[in-house]
Amino acid sequence: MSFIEFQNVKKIYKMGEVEIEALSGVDFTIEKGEFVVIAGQSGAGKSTILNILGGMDNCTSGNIFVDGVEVSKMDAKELCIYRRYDIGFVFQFYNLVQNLTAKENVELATQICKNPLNIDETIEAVGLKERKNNFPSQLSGGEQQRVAIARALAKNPKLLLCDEPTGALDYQTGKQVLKLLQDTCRERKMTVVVITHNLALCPMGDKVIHVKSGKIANIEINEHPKDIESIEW
Amino acid sequence: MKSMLFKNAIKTIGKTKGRFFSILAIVAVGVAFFSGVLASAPNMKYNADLYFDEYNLMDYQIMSNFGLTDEDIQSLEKIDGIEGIMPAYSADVLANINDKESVIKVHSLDIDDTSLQNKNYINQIVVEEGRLPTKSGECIVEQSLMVEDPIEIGDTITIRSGTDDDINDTFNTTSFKVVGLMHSPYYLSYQKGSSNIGGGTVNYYMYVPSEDFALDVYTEAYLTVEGAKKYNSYSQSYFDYIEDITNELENLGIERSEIRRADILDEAQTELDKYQKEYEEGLQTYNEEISNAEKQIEDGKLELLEGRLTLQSKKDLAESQFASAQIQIETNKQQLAMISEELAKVRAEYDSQNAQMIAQKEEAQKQLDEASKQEETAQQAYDAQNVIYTEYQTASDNLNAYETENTILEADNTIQQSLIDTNNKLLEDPNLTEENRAQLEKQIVDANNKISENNTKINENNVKIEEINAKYPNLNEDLTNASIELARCETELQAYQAQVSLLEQTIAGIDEGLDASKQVLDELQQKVDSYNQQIVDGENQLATQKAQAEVEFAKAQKELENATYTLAQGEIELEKQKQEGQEKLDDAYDELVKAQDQIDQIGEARWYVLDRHSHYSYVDYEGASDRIEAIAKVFPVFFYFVAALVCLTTMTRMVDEERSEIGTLKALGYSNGKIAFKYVFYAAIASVIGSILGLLVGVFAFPYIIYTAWNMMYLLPSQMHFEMQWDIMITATILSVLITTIASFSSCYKSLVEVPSELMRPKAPKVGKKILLERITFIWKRLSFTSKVTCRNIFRYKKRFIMTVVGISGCTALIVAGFGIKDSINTIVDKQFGEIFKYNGVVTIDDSLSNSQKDELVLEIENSSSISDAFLTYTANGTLTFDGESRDVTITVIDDNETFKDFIDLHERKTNKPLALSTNGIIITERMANALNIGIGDVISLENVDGMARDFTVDGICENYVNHYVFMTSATFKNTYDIRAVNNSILLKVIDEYQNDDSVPAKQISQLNGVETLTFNTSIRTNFEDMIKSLDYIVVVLIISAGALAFVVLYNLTNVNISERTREIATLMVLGFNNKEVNHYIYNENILLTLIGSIVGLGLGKLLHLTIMVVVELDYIMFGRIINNISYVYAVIITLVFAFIVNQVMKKKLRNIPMVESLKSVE
Repeated sequence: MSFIEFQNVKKIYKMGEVEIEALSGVDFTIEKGEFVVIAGQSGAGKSTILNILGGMDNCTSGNIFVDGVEVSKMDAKELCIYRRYDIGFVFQFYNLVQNLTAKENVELATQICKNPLNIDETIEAVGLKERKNNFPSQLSGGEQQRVAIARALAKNPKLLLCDEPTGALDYQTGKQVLKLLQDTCRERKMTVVVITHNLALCPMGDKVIHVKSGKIANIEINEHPKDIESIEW
Repeated sequence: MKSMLFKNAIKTIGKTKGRFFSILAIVAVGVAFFSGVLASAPNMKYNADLYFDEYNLMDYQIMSNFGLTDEDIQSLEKIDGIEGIMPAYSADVLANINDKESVIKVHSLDIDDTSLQNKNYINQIVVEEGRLPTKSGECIVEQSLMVEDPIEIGDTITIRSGTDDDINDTFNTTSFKVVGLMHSPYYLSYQKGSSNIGGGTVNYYMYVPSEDFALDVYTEAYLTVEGAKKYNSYSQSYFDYIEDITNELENLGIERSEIRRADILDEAQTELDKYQKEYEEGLQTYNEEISNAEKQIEDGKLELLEGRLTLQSKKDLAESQFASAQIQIETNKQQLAMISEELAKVRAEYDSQNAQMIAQKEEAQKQLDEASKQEETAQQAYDAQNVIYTEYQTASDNLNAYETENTILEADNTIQQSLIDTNNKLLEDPNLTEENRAQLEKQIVDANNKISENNTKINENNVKIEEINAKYPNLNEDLTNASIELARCETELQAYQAQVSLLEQTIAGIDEGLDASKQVLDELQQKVDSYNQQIVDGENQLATQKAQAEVEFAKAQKELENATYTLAQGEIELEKQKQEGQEKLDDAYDELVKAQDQIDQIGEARWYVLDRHSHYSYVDYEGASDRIEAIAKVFPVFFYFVAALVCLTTMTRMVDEERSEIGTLKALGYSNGKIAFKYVFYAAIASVIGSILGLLVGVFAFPYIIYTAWNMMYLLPSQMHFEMQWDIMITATILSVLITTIASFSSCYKSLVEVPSELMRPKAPKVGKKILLERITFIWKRLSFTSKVTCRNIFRYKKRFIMTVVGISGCTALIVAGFGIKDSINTIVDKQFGEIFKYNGVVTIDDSLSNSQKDELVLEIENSSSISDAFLTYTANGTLTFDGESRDVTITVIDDNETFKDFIDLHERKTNKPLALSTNGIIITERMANALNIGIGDVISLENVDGMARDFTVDGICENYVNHYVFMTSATFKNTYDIRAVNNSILLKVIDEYQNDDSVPAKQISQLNGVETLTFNTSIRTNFEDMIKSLDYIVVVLIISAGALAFVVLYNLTNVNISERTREIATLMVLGFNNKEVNHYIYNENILLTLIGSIVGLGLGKLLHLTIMVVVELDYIMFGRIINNISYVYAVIITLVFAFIVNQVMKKKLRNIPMVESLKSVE
């Protein structure tokens, strides 16, 4: 069995009388240590996949297994624990706590984990050693996103999920962030799932899952994924 | 266009219900409190005035120290503008109500016209039960609800004088039947003022028909003013209206009192002269009586001495008599000894003679026996001879007899024969009658028969003669011989008989000798016996006499002793009488001094024109409502401040949220004013609705609660009338609208001045900052991560911080104040009746008791099993004046500082330093010292119960809570007033067992002679506790308000926090924080703020409490200043409970935050 398995996963939102099928039967697998890119247009359902995978939402039907555990059967409490110990999230808008310094934002995550990584080392690893005592408002967008990544990494999760991590960043900064993610995956053997609507990024993934209208359009596997530096868009 | 904005505003309200509610609620609470508390006092006064008007309460009370005459009343009637006038009598008397001596204020009632329309019927009675008195001897009494065993209709009240004056001087009737129960606007409070008789306070009041008063002059007159009812008598306009009449009355008073003064002076002088004379007479009588009594005692002593001497001489005489009797007895004993000796001699002699004579007697007896024997033999011989002779004699006699008979018979025969012969011859005669013949023939036959019979007998006799002749052929001879022989025997016998009789004579002679000597002996013996008897008799006699003498002497001795005792008693009695007499003299002297003082004061003759400002109930109630008003000034400021803060934070948040909307509107060309309108409108709507709600609750509920609470102490109609306080209501509403709209405008102003493009962009998040605490690294380091976060957050938003701390501190402060009020009042009871007054009860003594009787009574009380200690004091009412202000006080005079300490502990409150009384200064109580601003060393004027005013120096100010007291030593009293303080009460302490149950000691003490009244502190305590229970309402109001405040503030805080930090919370959730951890993250802040607020609130509460205490303090009660530690704890706990409840309510909201959406939206 693969590290992650989606088996006929469906998600239907009920908006009053109207039912909207966000996912209509999704199947894919991800192996441990893979760098996966999920690509698709806005509203294709890629965020829904990520939310369900990250335990922030439940699927309506189907089975999801992560590291042999069936996530789709978890209740709210179990999902909370799952998020706590197994998942690292990186968002488009960083979602740092404004009132905490960079270091403290990382600490916010680690204080509830079982085996957190060393905070200072993690911050150093994302290249913010000099700025760790700054508040988010004193950091640039890229730096803030690095803090967010550090916060996700420091938890020492099984899985790093990134929702449009470069969406709010300029090109250069975006590249740096993506490089950090890619490096993390390579160096730490971390399974990383990145969502993007930017198809240009596809070549950097070990696996690329194309989503369209709530379905998997196709899954391509790059035998030789490209380094982010070599990709231009 | 405008309608669009309007619609938008309405919709916003719908969307932000929580926020809208926050503003609405805090405004409602603030307005309710402000309007409610503020409206209470006017409502109380309004209701009181209604009551006054309804029952025609007087506008003036006119009194004069000499009473009012009919002329006075007439002159009053002449004044213009007077509507009604009611001359009246009143007097304070004593009566036993339920076995307790009570002071009753008796008022007169003109029973002729008691219709409520009668203008001259002033201070009308509200009949609660029964009816008004209609004839002499009936009365109507106040309906007392606070008393356990109230007076009932049908009871009879017998009144008596509380002074030396005769009750009949004042009243025509002294026994009144209760026909009704009432209330009167004249007495609003349970406190009916003081009295200078009995226990010092008026316990009851009653009305009796005027005719039952026996006074010459009216004691007072009540007046009403035309048109004065239109005004609220608690308003200045009322006093302005009546001012002219006041002046006129005062002028009249000066005029009238001059006229009466002269008469009174004369009267008083006469009285003084009387006293002077009485005193001098008394002194003389006293001296005479004492010297008489002393003489009697001396006489008695002399008599006693005499009696002693007489007894001694009698005793001596008796002793000598006994001695001589004893000597006589001794003599008799000696003689007896001599005689006894003689007797012994005689007895010996007699014994030897006797033996001789007995021997002789025996010899003679022997001879006699011999002779008797011989005589017997001779007798026998004689008897035998006599038989023989008798035989012969008999035979001879028989023979002779026969022969004689025969002769007789033969003679008869001859006679018979002759008869026959005769008869035979007669028979031959033929003339013989047959009858005679038969008779004759029969005689012949009988004679023949006789003859033959005689012949037979002759023959028989012849036979017998023959037989005798045959037997005794020699009868005559034998007879002769036998006769001789018999004669000889007889001679011999006689000889012997003579011998015997001789011998017998000899024996008799000897016996006679014996008897004679026996007689001598007996005589001697008799003599001895007689002496013996004499001795025994003598001894017995002596003993009897001695015993008799002893009894007599004992009796005499006893009599002497009795006499001695009587004499001693007499001396004691004399001493007592001396003392009593001295006391009476002292009393008389005191009276003299008092009378002189009265005369000295007569110069100040005057009328007292008393308007309602001098009416106890009116002023008392005004004070009560003013106290509430004073509180009203403290709280609302505070509530409005919180309201402003709440509105500010809420609106700021709202403006921040709608930043882009503002920007869009601006971009569309809306003016700043129109955009701001939405927010101002929003706040205005909230505050108007809030104000209306607040007014609904405040204007009705608060005055009602406070009126009802105060009605526990005041007797006003329970039905309350509301007077709409429009000014207060409008002020409250305008204030709240102003405050909220200004707050809301100021919160959107900052955004409005920005350019639209800037507004369209998300507002730069509030910059995170290091806080001061972080610089104190050693503390910061120790804090947990979440604590650090909490600390940072708290200081991030200063407005919210201030709002929360102010709000919560207000909440805590209200609770602290609420509990503090209770504590302070409990303190009064515990301190006053535990730490200061250590005694449990007071006995007032019958004033006819002498000093020694009082001492005995104290001993008796101390010996009662339920009493541990007792102390004799003097207490009386007085008036203390300093710097133009006066207070009614209780003057306590003591003899002994040391023992007094165990009964009343005089000490300073702050330093706890004990105070001791000197011989020239006084100690006064703290409440009065504060009120009159008296310091140690100040000189005050103190008027005693007899109206004598003298100056005293204040030596000390002691802790005391209830009533005003002045303490001094008896020396101080005497030195200053020149009269003695005659002890009139006993303080007593019961044993521990009866500390809370005075029934046993009450029973024991009240039955003692000389105990007039007995009051236990327990009952005062209970009354007191009941009375101040009314304050519980206030405490509840305070706690509810505190709760409302805490809810609004915390709800608002949490609401704002959550909405502002939705993103942050969602992040936490995504990071895997569980519910509990998320709660902590948000609520730690709430809790910390609540704690900070509480701590600030404790200090604030103490201040608030102090303010309230000073404001509400009654004139005669000093409230404690202490708040128990536990009350602080309660306040914090209750505040935390409020916070906890808010947190629980808000949890749901926290739980419902949509994680995914929250994270996506751009702020």
